[in-house]
Amino acid sequence: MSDEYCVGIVDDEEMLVRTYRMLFERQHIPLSFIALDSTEAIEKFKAASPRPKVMIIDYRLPRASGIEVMHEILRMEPDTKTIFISADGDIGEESLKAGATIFFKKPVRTKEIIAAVRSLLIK
Amino acid sequence: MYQEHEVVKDNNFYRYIFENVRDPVLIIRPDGRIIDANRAIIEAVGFTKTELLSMNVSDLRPLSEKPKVCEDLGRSREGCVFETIYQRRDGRVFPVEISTQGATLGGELVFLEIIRDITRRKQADEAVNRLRATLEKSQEIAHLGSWELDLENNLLTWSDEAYRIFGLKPQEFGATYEAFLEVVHPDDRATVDDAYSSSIRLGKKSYEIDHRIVWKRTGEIRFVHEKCEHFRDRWGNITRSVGIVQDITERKMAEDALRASEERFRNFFENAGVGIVIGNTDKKYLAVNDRFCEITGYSREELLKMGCGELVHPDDQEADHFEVQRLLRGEASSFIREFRYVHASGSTVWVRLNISIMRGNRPEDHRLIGVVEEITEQKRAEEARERLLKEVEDQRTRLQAILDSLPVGVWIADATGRMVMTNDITRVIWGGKAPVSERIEDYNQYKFWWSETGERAMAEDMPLARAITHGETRKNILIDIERFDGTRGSELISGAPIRDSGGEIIGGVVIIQDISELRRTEEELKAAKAQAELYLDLMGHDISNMHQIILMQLELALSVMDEEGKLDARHRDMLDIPFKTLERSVNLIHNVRMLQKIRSGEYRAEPLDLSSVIREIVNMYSEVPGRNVTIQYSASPGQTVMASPLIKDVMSNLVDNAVKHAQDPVLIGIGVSQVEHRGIAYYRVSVEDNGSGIPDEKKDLIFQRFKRGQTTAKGTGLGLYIVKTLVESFGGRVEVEDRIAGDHTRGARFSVYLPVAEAG
Repeated sequence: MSDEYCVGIVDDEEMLVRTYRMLFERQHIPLSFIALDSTEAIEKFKAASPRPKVMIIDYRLPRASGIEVMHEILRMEPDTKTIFISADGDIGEESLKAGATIFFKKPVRTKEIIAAVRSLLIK
Repeated sequence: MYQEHEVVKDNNFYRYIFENVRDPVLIIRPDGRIIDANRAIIEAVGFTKTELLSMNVSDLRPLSEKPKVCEDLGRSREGCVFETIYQRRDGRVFPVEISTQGATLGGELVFLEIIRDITRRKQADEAVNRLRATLEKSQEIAHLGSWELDLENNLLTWSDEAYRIFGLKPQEFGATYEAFLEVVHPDDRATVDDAYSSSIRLGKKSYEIDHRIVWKRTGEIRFVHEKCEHFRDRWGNITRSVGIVQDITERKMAEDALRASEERFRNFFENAGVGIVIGNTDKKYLAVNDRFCEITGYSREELLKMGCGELVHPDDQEADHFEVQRLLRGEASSFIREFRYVHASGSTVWVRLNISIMRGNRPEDHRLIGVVEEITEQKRAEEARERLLKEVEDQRTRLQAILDSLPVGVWIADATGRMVMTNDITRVIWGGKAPVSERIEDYNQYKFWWSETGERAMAEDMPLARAITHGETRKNILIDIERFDGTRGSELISGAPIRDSGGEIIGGVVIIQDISELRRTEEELKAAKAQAELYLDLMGHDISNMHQIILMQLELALSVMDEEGKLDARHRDMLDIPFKTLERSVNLIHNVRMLQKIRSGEYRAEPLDLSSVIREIVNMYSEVPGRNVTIQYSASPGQTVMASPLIKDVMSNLVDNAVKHAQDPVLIGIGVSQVEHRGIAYYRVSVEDNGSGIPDEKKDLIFQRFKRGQTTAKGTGLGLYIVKTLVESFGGRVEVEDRIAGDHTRGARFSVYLPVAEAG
């Protein structure tokens, strides 16, 4: 898959992002960047070239919430597709209203993540 | 010769007479010079003849009389009598009456003055005048006038006082009988006239009469007493009448006043609203009035024969005797006592006796005067009042006991704000003290602040003051206080007015509940809850992340092993265990979070159509892989309940349980009916199965937290607890019973009651 269809990940859980990296590598989905907090995410998104087409965002992040990160990203790149993931199912509605493309409640099956990412990348 | 001799003889004779006459005689010239004086004048004035012959008559007069000499000499020529004063050689003066006559002696005009010492006459005149004045004064003082009628000369005279008594000026006109009758009051005139006339006609010696007169000048009517006495001549004819007239107006008025006073006293005595008795020292009644007869039930005649003590109730007699003896001994002048009489009918009469002693000259003349007031009704009222007071006191004691047993502070005040009752807890709340407050201003002794604003509460704003002054009822106001021992506390205060039956505010009550401990616990609980929520949240979040990692890593491992051809059936079975454990762990976290949300009221009830919810569940379980499940349900649209969409979880939980606890073929029946419980309408959704059922002893336990019934199925133990908690949060309830009553082995029936949503 071409690098312009790459994915960015924001999550403060290191073991989880490592798992994402393993999963995407295995599925040959290019990763643009991985950020462990909201500031890093915005900076890396701003610096990324090309910018990731799909962003996987955790709701709870250090410094600012995932919703705020998503707002900033969509402000910079309105076409960015966002997959919002949270342990709290009640966040789903809020995140979709805020502009998320897809919401997953943790835990979510790998095949669901991959399917979602793939479908969004080709859109 | 004869003639000379005769002349000489005559001269001697006249000289002899002149010298020896007893009256003093002077012969003077018209200018007053003395030319001759006889022996009597020499004796009277004490001058020698020689001295006199060198003097003028004016020299015989004292200084005060000298100016009159010329005038006297002037009229002496014609002859006259006048009175003057002479002064003797020794300076003593004496009154004289001088009779003078002009004469010619030897061709010369002379005056012959015969001087008479009138000292005695003057003294007699003065005595008569003094007597008259005394009589007049006496008449005036005594208001006693006199009159005299001389019938022979028809002459009437009145004394000065008689004039004054008749309202006239003394001697202002000549008195006549007609003038007298004119003064007499017209109504009495005929009687007065007749009294006089008839006394003469009937030959009476005297008569007396009282009558009225009218003072002409002022119109004032006065009373007089007249007494008349007739004097007769030797033949019995009345020659004069002498009378006295006395002004008796004052006496008459005093008599009238006395009569009126006696009348009033008699009226008072007889008509008094209280009993009045007069008794003697032998304690016998001398006089009693009608009211006393009425009080005792005895007639006056009966009472006057009785002793004063006879009527007294036997139990009160000793005290009565004691008090009377003190009076008689002079140790007291009066006393008041309340005691009982025995009425003629035998009943008891309460009286208040005010008795005093009127002392006579002798002990036997002492009189006891008693005023007796019947107070039976008053006594009864007093007794009733005392009973009432005792009752009030008893009630107060009971109320105090109740107040003291209350776990809250109570403070009762009257309409002025004066604290009338409080209880032990009030003192405890205020740090061992509850200072007395006499009025609302005194409440400032108690320091407290409104918890909501932190502002200091002033006396007039305190709930008790507002209740008394504005009739306000205020409930459960949170305040912070500073106790009298300096410590602080939190209280819940309520105040309300106390009204009488007419709605008038007669006081107020305030209730203070010490919630310091409660608030502390609440604060701690809140903090603990917040902390627990934080922990739960963090834990939920972190565990969810771990679940995510485990799940993804397991799936990656499976995928790698599968790709590398290392995954056989045994490996799949082994890896199935962590997947299932993970699923249970995920459910556990889900349930715990859901419970937390239910508890915090996050799931709000809204009208939901039951049939669509149930249909969704029926569809969900229409095909359970590897199981033979049949669900019977006939939908009735329009059954709307108040619940949150989570009611689906409730229904699915029940159906899921039925599937899990039953052997194939599983038959599940779902029915809906409307029931009423305590006036509230519910839809009852029953889910029954043909499973192993629930023994009676387990039926209550299955809804409890961390308890499981005996079952072959696996679970976290929170499923039915969540169902119950959720349904109750919507105002509903959950029950379980045997599908076939009395045989739990043939399946269970769960019933969920949900409130019917009101139309519209």
